[in-house]
Amino acid sequence: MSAEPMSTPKRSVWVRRIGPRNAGAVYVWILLIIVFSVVSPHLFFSGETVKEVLNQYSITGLIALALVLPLAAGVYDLSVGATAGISGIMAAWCLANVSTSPVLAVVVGLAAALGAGVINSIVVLGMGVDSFIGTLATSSIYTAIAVAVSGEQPISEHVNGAFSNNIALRNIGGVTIPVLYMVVILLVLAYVLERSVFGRHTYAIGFDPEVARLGGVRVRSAQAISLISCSLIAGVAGITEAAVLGAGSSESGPNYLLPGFAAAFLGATQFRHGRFNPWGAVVAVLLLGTGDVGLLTVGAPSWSPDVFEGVMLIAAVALTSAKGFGPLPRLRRRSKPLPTVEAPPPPEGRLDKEADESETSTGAGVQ
Amino acid sequence: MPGSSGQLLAVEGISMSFDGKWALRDVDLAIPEGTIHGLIGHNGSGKSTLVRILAGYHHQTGGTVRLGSDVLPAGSPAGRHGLGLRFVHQELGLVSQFTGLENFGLGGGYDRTRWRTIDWRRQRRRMREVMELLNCDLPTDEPVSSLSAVQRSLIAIARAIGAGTGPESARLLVLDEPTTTLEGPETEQLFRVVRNLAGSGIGVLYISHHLSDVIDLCSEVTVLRDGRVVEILRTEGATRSHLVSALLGPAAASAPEDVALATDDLLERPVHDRDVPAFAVTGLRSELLSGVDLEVFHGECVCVLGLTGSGREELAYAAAGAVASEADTIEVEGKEVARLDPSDCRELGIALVPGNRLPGSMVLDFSLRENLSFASLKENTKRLGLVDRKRETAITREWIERFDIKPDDPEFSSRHMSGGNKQKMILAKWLNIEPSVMIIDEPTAGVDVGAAKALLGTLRVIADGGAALLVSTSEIDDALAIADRIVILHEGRIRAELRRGVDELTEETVMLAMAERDEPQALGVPAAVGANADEPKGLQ
Repeated sequence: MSAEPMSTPKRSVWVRRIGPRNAGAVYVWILLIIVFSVVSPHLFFSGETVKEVLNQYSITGLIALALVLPLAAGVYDLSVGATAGISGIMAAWCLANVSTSPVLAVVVGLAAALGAGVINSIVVLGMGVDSFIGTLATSSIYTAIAVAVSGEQPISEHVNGAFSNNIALRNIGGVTIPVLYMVVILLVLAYVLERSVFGRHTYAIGFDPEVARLGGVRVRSAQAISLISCSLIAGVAGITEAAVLGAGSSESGPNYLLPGFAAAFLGATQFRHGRFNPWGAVVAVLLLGTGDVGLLTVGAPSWSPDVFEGVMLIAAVALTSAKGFGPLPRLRRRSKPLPTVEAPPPPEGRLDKEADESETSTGAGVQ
Repeated sequence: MPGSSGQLLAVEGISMSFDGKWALRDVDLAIPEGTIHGLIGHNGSGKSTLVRILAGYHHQTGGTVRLGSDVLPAGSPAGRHGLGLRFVHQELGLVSQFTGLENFGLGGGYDRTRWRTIDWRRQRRRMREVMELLNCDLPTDEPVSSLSAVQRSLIAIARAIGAGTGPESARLLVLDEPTTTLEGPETEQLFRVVRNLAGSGIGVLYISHHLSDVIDLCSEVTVLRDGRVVEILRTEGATRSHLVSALLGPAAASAPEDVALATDDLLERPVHDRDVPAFAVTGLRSELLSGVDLEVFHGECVCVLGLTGSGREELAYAAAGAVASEADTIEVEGKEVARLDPSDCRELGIALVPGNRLPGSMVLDFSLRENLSFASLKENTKRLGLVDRKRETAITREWIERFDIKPDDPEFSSRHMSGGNKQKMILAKWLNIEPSVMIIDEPTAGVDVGAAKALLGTLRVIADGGAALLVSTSEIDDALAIADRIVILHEGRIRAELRRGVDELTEETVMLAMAERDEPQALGVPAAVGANADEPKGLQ
């Protein structure tokens, strides 16, 4: 049957690559900067704003980056926030009770994150609990542990001072160190996901685990690596957060869950045709950060950033998926051997998009 | 121009262009009431575009479509349903966890009680009525996942005919590749139902790659080539080769080897020991297999045939350890292997190649390049585990040229490729690991005649080049074209083995060996089997 290969004329490759469909968030971001600059030229349009956005949102950025890997591999990690929380608490607890050495605190914090990642892997991949439910459950457990360790009080003893300064507050080239962490992890992830064999395997697993399995990929090991890496990056975020606040608190981590997911999903609509990717995640974080900071700068009420984040997520995803590449990649459940899948009928009245399989417009006649 | 009077469906001068390219030009098609009309054509001939226009997903650039006296409006798939135009697509669109009855209401609408809950009694009665019309008995209360392929197809047909407004309003049924998943007697059951439908006055447009099916079932057939109708012929007395030459145009009929894709360089392989089996397994057991011994030598092509349920469909995956399976012994190149899984296979140079419609064959969201290089990524890395993109693209371009893959853009989305091109891509993907053993499932399912021929020819050439091929297929013709040996499975065991040069290899001998001998089929459609002994597909 006809392949109808008309959707990619060669001349427009570049137009598409930087066009609004592929990089809508960047355009919205630029538009926001212009709008806020016009409304509030003195307060908003300054180097200070840039630094503020970067400094304030680098931890959200780290969480979003952490999520890119497991999402690309087709598993959710809803425990990122709790994992960040438990790492921060453990680092702070170590400073307060064991030794004032920042290095040891970081090691203990990362060990906690590693533990969380390993437990997530065991639950999701070893025991076969669906990742959405499994990590929701572990999230609750990690949060409880964090509360137990901290005794429901923020731990600030020895966290202020040397630890805080060395890990988070020091300026490098005008921005604080966490921005640097974000950039480094962005580059590492971009390298791994887009250039390495592991990255290609990871995307294949996320799109179709059966293809990966029959292609000789050890699907579950790769998913375990992605879950553990996610936890470790979340651990970095949690330790950094403790350093920024000067205290380990069981309440700070979970707040990053939602913006982190929002940025990862929004980012998936950018640059790479529906693939979860680190560049998109960071741009999405910067977009959200710019909007939040801008709104507060122009004197909007304090609840407005939350509304902004929600609206942005819906608008950007809707705009990108409406015309271009179809819906976001479906996150699939664990791979099963050769299921015989009957395609469900499409929703009624759906227009046949190019993104549909050219050979079969399923269920067209039964509506 | 065929007159619209007296015709149920009259397609008049339909043209369709995409971005300035003509997918259809001035196509006419007329189907009188109560007749079964075949539509055949290559991938890219415009067949699916025509179906999409009928279904209301595309709006034609020119021409009209009439159903009876109504001119079909643009768009509006739902409006077509009301006019009596019904579709059963290749993907049946059933929810596998739902029962037959639940699926019946899905899409066409459920009957409601006055409390707006579903009126199951009325729904059931309506499904009964439709089953009576079709003259078949289908299980209504079992999840469709537990039904046989033919029962699923029939439920989809029942739904298309009866859903929503009831059977009286269905006037034309479009069946798109309904037999792809069916084998032998199952096909005959489906045909019986389709004939019943036509007998009750409903027109049927039957689209298929299976030419003998079309000859068997249809009274007339329209042949599309390059977006034009090249021939409308009556099937009475028509032969398969006649249709093939109409499909392919002049210079068509030739032996598979003659049309093999360019694989000369594939032949430059180290010469293997042809006395030791490249791959041998004894006592292979899985859900459907209960003890199968197989061996494949270098330079040999072994084809496995069997009806649905014989274990044939699972054999390739069980042999490669891709589904839960056990074996007494597995030997690769004469060396015993404790167990196999897909990852071991890759390391040992065994390629497991699923057909393009089967799960696990390709990532639809990947580009041609990404799919084609997927199995051989590790061989194409620079330092630090970096994928060598340049090499990847170069290799992809080589295969595009060698196999004439269309479109020739390495970055093209795999999802939008045609079946034949997908299959070429999948084959190339696995040839990239330079396998010494290839285990292939359904190499030509969903592939048009021309591409299928080329693919089969290529497989033969690969075998001649020294690789060991184990091909599991539901197409008897494919096996006859390329096999050195044909192994026939029945109830999870080997029932017969036919050797080229020793036994007579014809469609007849193979079918005889495959046919059910012990008991009548229990497939839910009574009195379907053996009703027509001289039909090519009616076994027994």
